[in-house]
Amino acid sequence: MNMNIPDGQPMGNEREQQIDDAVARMLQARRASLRVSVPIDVERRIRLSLAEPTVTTPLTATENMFSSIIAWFKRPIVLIPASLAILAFVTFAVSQNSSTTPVDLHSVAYANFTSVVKGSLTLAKNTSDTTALRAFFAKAGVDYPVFFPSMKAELKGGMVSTDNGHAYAHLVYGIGDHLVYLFEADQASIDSRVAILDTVITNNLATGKWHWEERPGTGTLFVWKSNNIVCLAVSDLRTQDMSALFTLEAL
Amino acid sequence: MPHEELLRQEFEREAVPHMSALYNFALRMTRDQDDAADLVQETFLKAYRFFSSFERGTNCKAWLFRILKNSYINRYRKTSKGPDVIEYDAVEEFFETVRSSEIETSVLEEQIFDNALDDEVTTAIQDLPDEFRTVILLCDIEELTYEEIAEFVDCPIGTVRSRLHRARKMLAVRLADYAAKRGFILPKRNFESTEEGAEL
Repeated sequence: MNMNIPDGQPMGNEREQQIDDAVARMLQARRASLRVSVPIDVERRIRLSLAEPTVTTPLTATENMFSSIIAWFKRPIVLIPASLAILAFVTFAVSQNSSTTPVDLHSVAYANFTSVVKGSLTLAKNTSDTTALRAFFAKAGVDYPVFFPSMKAELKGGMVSTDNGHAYAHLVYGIGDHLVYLFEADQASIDSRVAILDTVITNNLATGKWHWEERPGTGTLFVWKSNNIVCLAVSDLRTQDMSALFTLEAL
Repeated sequence: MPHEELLRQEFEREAVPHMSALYNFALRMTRDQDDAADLVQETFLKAYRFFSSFERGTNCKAWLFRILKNSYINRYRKTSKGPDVIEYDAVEEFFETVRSSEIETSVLEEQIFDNALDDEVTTAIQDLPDEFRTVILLCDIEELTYEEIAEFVDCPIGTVRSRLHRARKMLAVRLADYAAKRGFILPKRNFESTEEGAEL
């Protein structure tokens, strides 16, 4: 290495520090000219997209009827027997594994959330310990790495459902009087059509976007993908409140 | 005023002014205008959706950069079309090769840097490996703190300092090369041939 250093120049670390400082000063002095401003059309596009309201799915006639039935079921005189009947049905639905119909993740997420809120779908493992839950899921046949999103809510526990030979992980979080139900499915089960997902959601996920929707009277659905796991979270919180629970950097 | 409208106004005030900074960074990382625009749009949509979870009093710009980083990682993990990953060892080797030998012989760094063209500086930054370009941009151009950069790159602060130092040095070497090509200084080999020391 050439070590010819002109007279009057400091050596070693001091010299390196001088070079370091000189580069830093030069860059800092040129900040404005080195920055590329966001093009006007891009800024306009972004501002427009920010102004778009949250997707709110209007109630269809069928859903209106469904809401009425739900209201009727909420009457105390029918609540207990109805809960027992639903419990039996859901237990069957969750545990059955002989069906060949693909699991519609979108619908099942909503339905399971309703069942969780009513207490007809209960946790199989009550713990906030993610290590214990991972072990539980693995033992129950879930063959993908279950994702535990960082949330400002308490992890209550999890359960497993089996459909068409595939085991799926479900998590429940609690915050105040509200619950957030999370259904996780691996991309492989969607690719193999063992599970299906609404085309709009699939397209959103494929382009790296998230999907939000609110169904008045039913809940808010948030779908995102973390590595190869598709996560569907449903809660009775409004979009803004529900999104505030998630730590964005962890998604 | 409705809560959502207040949030929107706050977002407009706190986050939107950083759009150019994010775009600039995205452009330097993706090297593609469309990709940069998409990345920034995705970042702002996510940030807006999650603005309630932004911790007031902290640096909104750093928060936005973290979101952008995650979007960048997710996007390139999906498409596998991101810039080639450069082995850190290879960079170290390169750094050791150029270490001191070229720029320590020059007495005119300040002048070289002052006279460097903006395009040359931009190109020199662009030519840095990802890890080094990131810290230069975040520290010297975007003025994030070492702590914020450490969080961004998920490294200890010491690593950030070291990476920054090396990045600046690589930049100095490249700018000296440009200057030499423009005839501003004599190439290093001329220094080496001078027995009594360097003379310009």
